[in-house]
Amino acid sequence: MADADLANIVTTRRDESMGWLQSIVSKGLGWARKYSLFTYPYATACCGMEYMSVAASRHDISRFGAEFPRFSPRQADLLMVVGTINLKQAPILKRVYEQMAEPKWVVAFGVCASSGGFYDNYAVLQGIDRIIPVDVYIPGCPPRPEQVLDGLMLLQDKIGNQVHRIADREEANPTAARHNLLLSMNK
Amino acid sequence: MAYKVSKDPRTDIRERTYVPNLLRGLGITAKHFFRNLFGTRDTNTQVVDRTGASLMTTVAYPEEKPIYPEGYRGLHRLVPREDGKPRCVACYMCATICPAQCIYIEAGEYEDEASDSEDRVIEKYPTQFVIDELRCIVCGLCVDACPKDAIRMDTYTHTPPEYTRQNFVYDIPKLLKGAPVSHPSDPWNKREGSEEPHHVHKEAHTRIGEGLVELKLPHGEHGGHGKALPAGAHAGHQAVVTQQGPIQVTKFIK
Repeated sequence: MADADLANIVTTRRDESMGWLQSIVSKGLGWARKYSLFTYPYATACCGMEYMSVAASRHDISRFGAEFPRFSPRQADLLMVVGTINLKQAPILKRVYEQMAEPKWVVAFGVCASSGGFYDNYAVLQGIDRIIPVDVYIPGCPPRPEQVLDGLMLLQDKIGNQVHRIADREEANPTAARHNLLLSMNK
Repeated sequence: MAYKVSKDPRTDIRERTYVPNLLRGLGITAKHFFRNLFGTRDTNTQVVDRTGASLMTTVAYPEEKPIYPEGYRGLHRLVPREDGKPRCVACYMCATICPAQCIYIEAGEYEDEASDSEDRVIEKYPTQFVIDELRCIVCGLCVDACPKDAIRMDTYTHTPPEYTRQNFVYDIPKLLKGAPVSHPSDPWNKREGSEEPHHVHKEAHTRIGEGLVELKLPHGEHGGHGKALPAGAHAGHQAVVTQQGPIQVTKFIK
């Protein structure tokens, strides 16, 4: 089954069901949220150096409103998983993700976090999407800063197109919902 | 024994309040601030070569795309022959050496009856050539391992980020791009008739790229492999399609 088709139908119906005021609020919240991403850099390996390069003045990530790394997951809304996640780190990463407040997004930074890279061995998690939902995958070993900025712009597009509400009473995170759907289909 | 009275110049009231030096420091900061705010900004993508009054080093990325350095290992490409097919002969060298095991090849065989014996100079071709770019660690070993110069990383573009992992699986239609390449050591160039090689080359495998033959574009006469090309002409520069437009690729292994 093509996931993209399913997602399109769902979003279209949701858009139709929203009233005018609701859609204005949703767009406003999306605009505000996509330009004030507070990142939590979960840096475990050499990609952390590239993260510093993106955050430094040459490729200034603050031009995209994501300049302020929060060193507590409770204050962040973008989890950047930077580097290799081995199986011993996996429960910690899962817990960090669960400590973040909604709305939250996840970027897999580099091939090790995205797919395990060339560490196809007994110790390394083969992609963080085995445990947490991922919004944007950034390839590269390590990725160039331009790749990271491309990924950040992709994420901003995604956030701008999502449905945002002032008070979320149902499951708010569409990426997590899709992730749970995929996990249940695999079982 | 009593201490002597200090001769420290900071006993001066002017020095002890630090006011002049404070103002001097503020002046330096303000000078840089106004210089960066009102100074003309050079938009040279090579930041170290910038010569403007403004000292800002930030590259406004989506608008100013820096030129990647020579030898940058970017997105893979399968090098086409002059007839548009990939040069790859499905020898599995790249898939074997790849440390991330991200290359998957399925080989097909040219049939004997399909072409006469003179044309049949290569035996295999890839029916599938798939690279998982999300596994690739851009080490370039596939480029080094390839005996046919069939895979290169000279596109000077990075792999774009995506929303899903499936989008990173690059197959032949996505990989086959760029300028076609021909070498005098190619078997379809070597075997015109059976008399003698129609080119002069020594140590073709170590000095690959020397005496490149003239390239034919794929939209012209479709010379299948086995058709000889005029030798001797030097195709010096080959353009590779990139994000920033064509970039002259001048160097190959010499």
